[in-house]
Amino acid sequence: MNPVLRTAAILFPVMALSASSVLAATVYTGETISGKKVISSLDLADLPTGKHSFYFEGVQMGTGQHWYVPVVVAKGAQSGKRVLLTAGIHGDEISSMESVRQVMAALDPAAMSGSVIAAYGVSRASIERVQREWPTVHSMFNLNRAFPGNVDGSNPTVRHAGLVWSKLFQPNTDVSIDFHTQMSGSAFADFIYADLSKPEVGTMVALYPIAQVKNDPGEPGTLETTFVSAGIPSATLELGGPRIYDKKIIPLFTEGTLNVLKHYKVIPGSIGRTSKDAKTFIADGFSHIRATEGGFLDMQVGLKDRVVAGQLVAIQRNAFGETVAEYKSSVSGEVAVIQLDAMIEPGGRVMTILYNGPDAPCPAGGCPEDEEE
Amino acid sequence: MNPALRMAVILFPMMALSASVASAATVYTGETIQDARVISQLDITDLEPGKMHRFMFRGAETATGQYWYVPVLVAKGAKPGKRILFVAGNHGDELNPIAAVQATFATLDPTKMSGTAIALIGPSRQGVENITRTWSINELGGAQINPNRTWPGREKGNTVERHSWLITNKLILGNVDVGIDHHTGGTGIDFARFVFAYANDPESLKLGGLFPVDQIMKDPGLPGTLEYSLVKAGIPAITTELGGSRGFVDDMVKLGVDGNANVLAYYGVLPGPVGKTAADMNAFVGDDLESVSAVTGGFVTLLVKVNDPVVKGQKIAVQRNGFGDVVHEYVSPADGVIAITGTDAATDRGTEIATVLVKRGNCVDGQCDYGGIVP
Repeated sequence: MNPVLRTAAILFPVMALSASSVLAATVYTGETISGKKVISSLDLADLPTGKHSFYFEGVQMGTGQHWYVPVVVAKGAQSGKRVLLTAGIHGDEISSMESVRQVMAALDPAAMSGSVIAAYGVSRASIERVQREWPTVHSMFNLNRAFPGNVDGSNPTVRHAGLVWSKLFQPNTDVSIDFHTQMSGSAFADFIYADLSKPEVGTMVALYPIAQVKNDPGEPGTLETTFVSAGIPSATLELGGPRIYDKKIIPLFTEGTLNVLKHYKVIPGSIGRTSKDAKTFIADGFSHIRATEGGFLDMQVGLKDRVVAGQLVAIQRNAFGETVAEYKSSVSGEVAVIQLDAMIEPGGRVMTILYNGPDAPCPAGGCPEDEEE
Repeated sequence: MNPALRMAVILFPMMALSASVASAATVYTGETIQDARVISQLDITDLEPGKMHRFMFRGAETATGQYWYVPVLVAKGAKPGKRILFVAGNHGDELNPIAAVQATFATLDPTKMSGTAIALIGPSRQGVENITRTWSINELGGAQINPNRTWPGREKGNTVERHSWLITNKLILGNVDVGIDHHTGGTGIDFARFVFAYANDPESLKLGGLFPVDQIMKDPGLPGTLEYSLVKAGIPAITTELGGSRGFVDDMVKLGVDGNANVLAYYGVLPGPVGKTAADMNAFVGDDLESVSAVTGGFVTLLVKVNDPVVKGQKIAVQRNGFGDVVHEYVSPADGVIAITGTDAATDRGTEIATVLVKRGNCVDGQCDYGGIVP
């Protein structure tokens, strides 16, 4: 779009708004790709009732073409809470995309009070490669450590985070739900990370009929923690393992998310199954069991199994079939994460036990870094 | 675009054409990206003469179902004439070609042209974005596809093969009389000022001679290259090598620009004399390549550089291990000139250390194995 036209596109909606919201306006670049209008900024207030699909103009690639993020908006007939659903902030977490799609498909804007925004495959460069991190020419970056980002930042990932945060997410969101899975090589249980010290987050998370919740203050740079720090409730959902559509786990999170929308009166209807029905195990400790050797793992427990302190959980053998390590849990709790690849490198995570106890971590100084989220 | 509208866009230009080319017509998808209209098929007869046109050509789909778009420039002359294709970025880490083709097109004045120049900038879309020779696809955990082994492409092949097929069938065939595929050495090697031209096509050899290079190889045609697929389609074509990878090097860019200008002048697309050519450079014309590959791992010290004449048995490189001990000495396998050298000192076993362009004079009966070398 030529600069004059682009300015006009910015100015026209601005003039229609009150002086108090001069900065917010949906900006159409004038481009249409595969039938979808391209926007570089979204203001939900500009949209009529109904479902709308856009490409959000993300950061540029090395040749100057742009990455475009698919965005779907369901704008209700009545005003109400604005809920943001994000999927694919890591590029190998595909069940997240399907659960968000199912939620959006269930919405009828005419019966809605409020809006739901879905952003699919936010980490554009990495979802094309089905990999966790955003590959640049010389490095890789974790988009879920880059929020709130910086449009003038020093790599494309932090700039992309800055664009989606400042032009799409932050101005249009009252409640955020960020859909993830475990990374390639491992699997999560049906699991949620949440900061339960925030009552509204606790209420939201209790609406999911899932196995496990970890209560923690979150990791800087994640979308969840960035929202929570901004006073907006958010949680990080973990829908099992990477790369696939997990047809057992996806419906649990679809149901829970519809519960959240009902709780906020965005959609009508009665609340379905919740954490009470699922007897969710809630704890605040993570015990990572790491491989001391390279070798092949023979798991003795599975996801969601209860383990007790001292229990043998995995045996490791070398290429000759000799046992090189036996791994035991140092805590009593539930298996939250398990390595899927039978081979593991030294230092790799064999499994993670979610637990509560007098020695649960997060003492003074906070929790040890949790790279899995 | 809705199907009816799309059909109308397809049908309208078709009706304007003669029955003999009923299948060809420029197809506008209706999209505009960064001010360039998107096309899924090109027919330059549809385009207004005497003008520079720019498009995004819609290539293969990405893994999520979005598309890769290739920037295309068409300088359509006021008068009819030869139609010349210039390709840069068939490999994604070869950047001098992009500067050379862009510089050529920046100076073209279509009102003064008789014929048409078409530029394809970075057809290896994913390779160019990553500055890599190969285009990675996700199949079976990841495969690295060399785009310049996929031509003319396969309609129902993988992403890269499909992309090549679309470019061949929806962009090149019917629009191109002559093809120039600009390359450089890949990451980790340096190439001489060099042209590959198909040995059995006099027109392609003539075309190669229009570039002021130091070396020309009469090649046997390497299946899968754009050059050979064009030649087999009856379109004279060459592969240039404009030095090394990744950067813009002024001398190498100028080589491309000067050669491009000669091609346009030679075919009468632009007025003006042909400038300096390979003959003026006293180019060494060979017909075989002999490569020297590392027989062990270690750090290589080269004793020759690109363009040096060498004789058989001449020591050209020394390799040392981590302790500094000499583990191997390499000699030239033949008389000739150095066409390619490795640039990474740390060298895996089997990696090319240097390649010599050789003049056999007679490549029948398997005398020339062409060194397995590759545009």
